[in-house]
Amino acid sequence: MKKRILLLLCLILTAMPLPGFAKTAEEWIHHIDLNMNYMTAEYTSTMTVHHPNGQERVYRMQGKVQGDDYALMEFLEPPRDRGTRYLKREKNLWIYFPRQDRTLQIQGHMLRECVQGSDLSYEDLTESSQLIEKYTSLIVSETDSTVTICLEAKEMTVSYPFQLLQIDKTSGIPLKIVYSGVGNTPIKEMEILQTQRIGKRLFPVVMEIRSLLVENKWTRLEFEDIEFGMEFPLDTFTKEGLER
Amino acid sequence: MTLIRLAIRNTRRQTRRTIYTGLAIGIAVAALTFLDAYLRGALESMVNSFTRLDAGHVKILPAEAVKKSRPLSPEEAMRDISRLLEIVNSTPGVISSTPRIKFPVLLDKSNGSIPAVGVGISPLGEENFMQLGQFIIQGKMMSDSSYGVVLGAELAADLGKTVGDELFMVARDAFGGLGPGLYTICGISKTGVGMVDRKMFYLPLPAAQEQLALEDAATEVVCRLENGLESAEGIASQMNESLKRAGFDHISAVPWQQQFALFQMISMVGLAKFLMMFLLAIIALTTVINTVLMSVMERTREIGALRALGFDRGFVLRMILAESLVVGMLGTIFGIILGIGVATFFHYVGIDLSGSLSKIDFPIRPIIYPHPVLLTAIQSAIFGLIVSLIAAWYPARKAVRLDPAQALRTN
Repeated sequence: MKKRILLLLCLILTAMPLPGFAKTAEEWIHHIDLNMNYMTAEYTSTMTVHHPNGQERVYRMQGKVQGDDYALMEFLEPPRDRGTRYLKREKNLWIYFPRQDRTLQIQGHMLRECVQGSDLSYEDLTESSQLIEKYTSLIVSETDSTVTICLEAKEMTVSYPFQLLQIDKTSGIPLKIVYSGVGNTPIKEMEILQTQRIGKRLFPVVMEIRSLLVENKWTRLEFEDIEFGMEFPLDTFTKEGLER
Repeated sequence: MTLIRLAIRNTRRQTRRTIYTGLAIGIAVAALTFLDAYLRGALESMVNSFTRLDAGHVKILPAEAVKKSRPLSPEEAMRDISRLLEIVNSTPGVISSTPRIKFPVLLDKSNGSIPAVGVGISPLGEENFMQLGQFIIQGKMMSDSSYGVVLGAELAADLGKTVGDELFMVARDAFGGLGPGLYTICGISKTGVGMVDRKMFYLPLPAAQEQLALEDAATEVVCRLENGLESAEGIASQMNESLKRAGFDHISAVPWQQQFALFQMISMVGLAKFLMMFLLAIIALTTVINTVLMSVMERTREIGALRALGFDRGFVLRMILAESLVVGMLGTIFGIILGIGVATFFHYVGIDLSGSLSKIDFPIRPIIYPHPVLLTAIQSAIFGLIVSLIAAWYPARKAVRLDPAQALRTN
């Protein structure tokens, strides 16, 4: 009888959501990194830029990314931008314009400029880094279905010194991220509208980024196709590769 | 009359002191006269350069851009510009108008890129405005239909480019994307205006429109008017009404006086003039107070005698003020002659400030020609006389408070 009671007690205790069993902020962020961070990726995506005057412009592009430092991206549409390629190597960016057959190099803060009038910067599109390495995290609120975590950059040199993530507890993927600048001033927010299981990871494939500085301005980014973990030839991220 | 005669006689008693005091006032008045003429000349040069190279007499631009000093982004450009030009040109008093597209750009350099400002212009239209052709020191002016650019001399040197070289650039286009452009340098200009020669280049308007995806659009329209400097405000308000009626709700016609950069400059010049006047007044006051006070102290017994003979305090006060006024008048006349003389000399010779002005981001020519006018002389005369009266007030008050009996005993 005693054994049965003990067994029942154990079962009850293991089924109870005890506070000590809840995930810490670091664990949630680590979970996001496992899903959303990658060493290498190759993608085709569509970016719809909605301007405050109501104009909308659709860009289609394909790209290759290797960690934080290397990326190559090419615009497929619209015709005006077709064939324009971006090469990122560390903190330098080269842009190749096929009609003029010329390459322009831009550096430093220019990497934080928006791509084609969108709400995404060159860094946003060409970098993939581990949040856990760059930010300290703190749970600020929690509901039954979501947990909200505030990230603060360990070094203020990152694009967004503060981020506020609302994470879906079931999938472990953020539903919404508010990106803030120095002084915690909100700059933009990203809503993840759709995720897709690719291999072992759950990856956001449709997202909407809304400017918090300009009214009625947003960008929708959809990955038509994305693969991870491939190896790129050595000359992929070179100037020669860019102009080829 | 007796008072004046007495004042003149007293000033002769200490000739050297009178000369020193007069000189102090004279030099302050001369400095003020010259300063006023210099600032007037500088302001005229600024207004002239600014209206020719940048502002026109009236500039039409998007309303939200009126207070911005940076070039507008192509997304903010004004559309339907042909219709807008029709409205502007039909306004009475408008001699001519021309559209421009001013845009920030990155110019390709062998080891990177440098920021500059491109200005899309109509070479023909600009004949009534900047007359770029007359500043070309190498090569020639571009034509409306070409892909030629005219580069500021210092910018060309910075890029290591010359006439005939290709110039590649990238700017933000009307969609917020990148608008690349490849041109041939057809001319190099030297306007003498630092910011233009260092940072700007000119290209044909149609080419700029194509590069930035801005068909029938411009970031500004400049207008030249009959009697432009005087009539600008009235004509600008007429234009604003016509534009509103035609449905151009978010577009403003701004007279040159109200354009942000010039407005700031005029305020700065006004402030500089006030500060200099204040400083000169302090210098003159301290010198004059000192000498008048010495004169009063030396004449303590004489003042005591005057009071003992029945002259009242008011007479003594008026006497000392009159003395100071006489010295002040002499100094002022000398100062005005000196100041106007020096200003007139430099009005013809000019003062070359190319070393310092070339660094200023404002369209101003580096040689300033001071411009003395009658108002300058009147203003300086009033300044000199007021300073002498104020300076004498304290010593005069001190003199009238002397006890006659005690003053007579003073050695």
